[in-house]
Amino acid sequence: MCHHCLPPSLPSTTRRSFLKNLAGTGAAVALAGAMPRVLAAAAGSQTQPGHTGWARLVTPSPNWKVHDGNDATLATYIRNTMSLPIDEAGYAVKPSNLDDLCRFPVIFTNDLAAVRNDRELLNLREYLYRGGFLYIDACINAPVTPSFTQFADEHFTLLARLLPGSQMRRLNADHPIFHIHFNVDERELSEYFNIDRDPGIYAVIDDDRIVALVSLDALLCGWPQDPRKGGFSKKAVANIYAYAVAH
Amino acid sequence: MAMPPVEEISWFSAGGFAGWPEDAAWRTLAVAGAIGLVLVVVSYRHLLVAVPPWRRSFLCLLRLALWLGLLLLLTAPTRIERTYGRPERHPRPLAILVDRSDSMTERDNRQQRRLDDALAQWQRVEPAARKTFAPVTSYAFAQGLTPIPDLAAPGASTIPGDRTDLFSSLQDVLAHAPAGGWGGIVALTDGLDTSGADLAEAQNATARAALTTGTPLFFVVGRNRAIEPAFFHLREFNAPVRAEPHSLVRLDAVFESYQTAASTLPVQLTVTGKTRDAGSIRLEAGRHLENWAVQGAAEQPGTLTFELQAGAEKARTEVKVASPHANGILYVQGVLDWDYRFLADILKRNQGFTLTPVFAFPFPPTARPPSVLSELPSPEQLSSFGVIVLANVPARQIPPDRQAAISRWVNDGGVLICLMPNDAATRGFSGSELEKALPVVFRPAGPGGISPTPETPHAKLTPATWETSPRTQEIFGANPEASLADQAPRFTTVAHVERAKPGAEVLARHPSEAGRDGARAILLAIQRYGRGESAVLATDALWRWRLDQPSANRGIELFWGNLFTWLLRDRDTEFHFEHPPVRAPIDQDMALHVGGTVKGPLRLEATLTGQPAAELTELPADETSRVFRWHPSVAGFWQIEAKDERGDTIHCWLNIDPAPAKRGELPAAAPDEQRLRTLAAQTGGALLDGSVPAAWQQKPPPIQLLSERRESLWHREGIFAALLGIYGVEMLLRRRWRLL
Repeated sequence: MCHHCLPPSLPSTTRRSFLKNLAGTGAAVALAGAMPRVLAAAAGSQTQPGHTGWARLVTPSPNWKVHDGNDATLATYIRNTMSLPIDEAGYAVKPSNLDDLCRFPVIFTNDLAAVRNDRELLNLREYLYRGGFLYIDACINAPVTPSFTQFADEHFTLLARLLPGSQMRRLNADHPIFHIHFNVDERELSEYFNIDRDPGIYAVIDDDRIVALVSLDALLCGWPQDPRKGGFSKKAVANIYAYAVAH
Repeated sequence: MAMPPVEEISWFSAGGFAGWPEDAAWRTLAVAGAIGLVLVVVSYRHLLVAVPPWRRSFLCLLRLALWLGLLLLLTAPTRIERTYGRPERHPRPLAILVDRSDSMTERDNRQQRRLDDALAQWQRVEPAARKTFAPVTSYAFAQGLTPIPDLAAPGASTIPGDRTDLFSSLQDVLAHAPAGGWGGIVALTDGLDTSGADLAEAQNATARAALTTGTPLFFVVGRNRAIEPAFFHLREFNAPVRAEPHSLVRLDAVFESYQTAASTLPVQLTVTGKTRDAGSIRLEAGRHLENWAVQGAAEQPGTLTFELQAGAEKARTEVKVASPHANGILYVQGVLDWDYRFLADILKRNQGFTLTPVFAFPFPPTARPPSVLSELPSPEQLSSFGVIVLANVPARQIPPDRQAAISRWVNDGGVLICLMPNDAATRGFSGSELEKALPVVFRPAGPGGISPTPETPHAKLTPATWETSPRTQEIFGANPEASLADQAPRFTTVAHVERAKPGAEVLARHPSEAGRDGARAILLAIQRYGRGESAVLATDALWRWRLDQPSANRGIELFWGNLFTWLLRDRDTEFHFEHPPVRAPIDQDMALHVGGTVKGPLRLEATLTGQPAAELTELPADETSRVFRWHPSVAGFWQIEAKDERGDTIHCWLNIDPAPAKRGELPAAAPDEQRLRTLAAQTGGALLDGSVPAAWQQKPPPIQLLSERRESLWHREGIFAALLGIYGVEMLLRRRWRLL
């Protein structure tokens, strides 16, 4: 009998492996059945729907979207740990559209200095004058922020020009922004990355209140490399959000 | 009364599809089902051993049944059993007061009494009243008040005295209401109170008492042909105690007249010695009240004196022009959002207000800014604030005893503003203690009740529509820096309320959406509650509006500044005369009240050219003011000066009538319909002119949700056993048919 005449080989399954598979499948079905209950319980503990979220500024920089996946993670974190009704969806706004800017009380960017169009800068000024809040955060990745010193200098100059009469002030460790909900200590950052300038958060104070923050703490990046950095960053950003709401 | 329970099956109320639009969830599952069907068919199409078609089909069916069963689990079917019903209506008692004074029982040339006319009108609405209210208690009043068995009781006409205590009788009945309060009070009267009390003050005191107990007042006006001689006099002349520099001062006057033919009278206003033409007033035939108002500019700090002259009538008042005191605003933030940041910025340059926020946010003590509170102050501490703003505070965040304390605080003169950005913010307020103090009735939870609308950052802002009322103009219309349109709140979401309460004033409405009361949805309403004020802003018109408005535009700043200023208009701590009368009768004791913060001795002196000055005698103070007695014995235009221990002075002026004052019965005086109409409107009542008021129309109460029971149908052990069984059968058959 040639090999063509041989019956096709039957799938070989022992009784033990069959029962094992059956039990495994049964457990999976049971788990699938229980899942809606778990989800329902989780849904019941949610806070009420978000009233607003923040938006990411679309700048001419090709890196404006870097780490945008962290936006939703942060929003979820703030929502869950602080019961703040924040929208978890990620939004992006162009500085050319003032109406769009003004739909968000907080706007984030990793490079405001990339915005050079006068009309767009005027829109950003008007947004801040109306009461908006800008959070500018450097990124630890060299393609995004090649030099922290240059990043700081460019932004300090730009903001001084954008908001005449404003003051730039580094926030000390005892500032409420580091303690308003979580106690965070910037000194922890030194172990995570090595940059050409000390980390720190600088506040832009206009008309006696903080309207923008320039952060050299790179709070929105460096998470995949070290989860501890993510933990620190999430707490610090949550503090910033809460501070802006309450002041 | 409960109705039979209604059952329904709800899909996707839990699990991974919760919150999805139902259509989208079904479509997703249909696609998943179709994909599963294809995969099942394909997987059994090519087998390594030959299997008869019926076995192949049977296995396909088993696999498909398992797949569909799993998909069915994801729909999370839930059985809901709801019980609806109408709450039982408990009729409230009604009090009927009959005026048995001389003016009501004097007969005219037809032998017709005003009492007869009032009784005839009452009989037309009495059946509807008896259907709505129970029991009905009757009183008669003239000089004093006495209960009577029924309205036509003959003995009631023997009430002694030569005067009519209309307002004190109403207050007496209000004060002795049965448990649960009166459902309403109906007074059959001609509105002529001849007790000698200050009529405006007595009217306001009665309105306050009625509003505090939630009792609407209804009046049946008795008329006959009794006539009186023509007269014209100034009844009220009101100006604010103080004004800010570079602002406009509004002066109001009320003239009362009875004319046999229409005429016109010129009016002249003198502002600190400078005379200006202030137009004229038209006096119509018959008895009328004429309102007159004018605005004057307050420029530099100091004192402005306004003198009004119309015919032989003269009145004078003074206004202090000074920067305002800082009024404390307690801002309680419930659900955290951005409103506080923006309101703080809006009020930053307004020195008249200081904001103290309360965040339910768990600040550690080290990080809390000095002025921020972490919880609502105690009832005793509330008195240090002029305004409480409850911003998106769910009712459950304030225990009932605290709600009652806030309600009392408003009743004692506080100002409460509720910012409710959406329907979720109104949850739990229906029937709450706080609702009693607010100008609107909230919707109960249940069918047709609260249904939160999700918000999105891209929602478009809509401007509210102002009500064309004098009050809107008074609060927002006097500012040259921004028009009413500029100050119209812009919003994206609305908290839907049931209706405005009687006595409330709606200032702004939704431009298109209809409310439950048939008019457009209420966005801004205010109401006097006791000696305080309350307001509800049923939109999210704060931070979104501020961000939407050009930075150079001051509309939102003026809106909030004007609203706070107006609501706090009576909360002036400087000493001042409280509603001094324009005129007073000669040779009778009168009382002058000085309000505000006065510590130490206060000296009041009355002066008239050519007469020796007379010092007024101080009486025991009442709850809110110091009281001084004066017995004027010479007619004329008197000036009263009050001087405190620091030497600060204030003044008021009174006309002491040379003629005998109106006292005793006024059989020839016309009924004071205008006053009765105003008082009824203040309390949510009406004049009964033979037609049944809308509030008495017997409508069944709306059906409400009484209970709801949910039973999940998707996590029962039997279902999982069935699915496991299907899968097990398939595996066993495959084994038996040598597919495994």
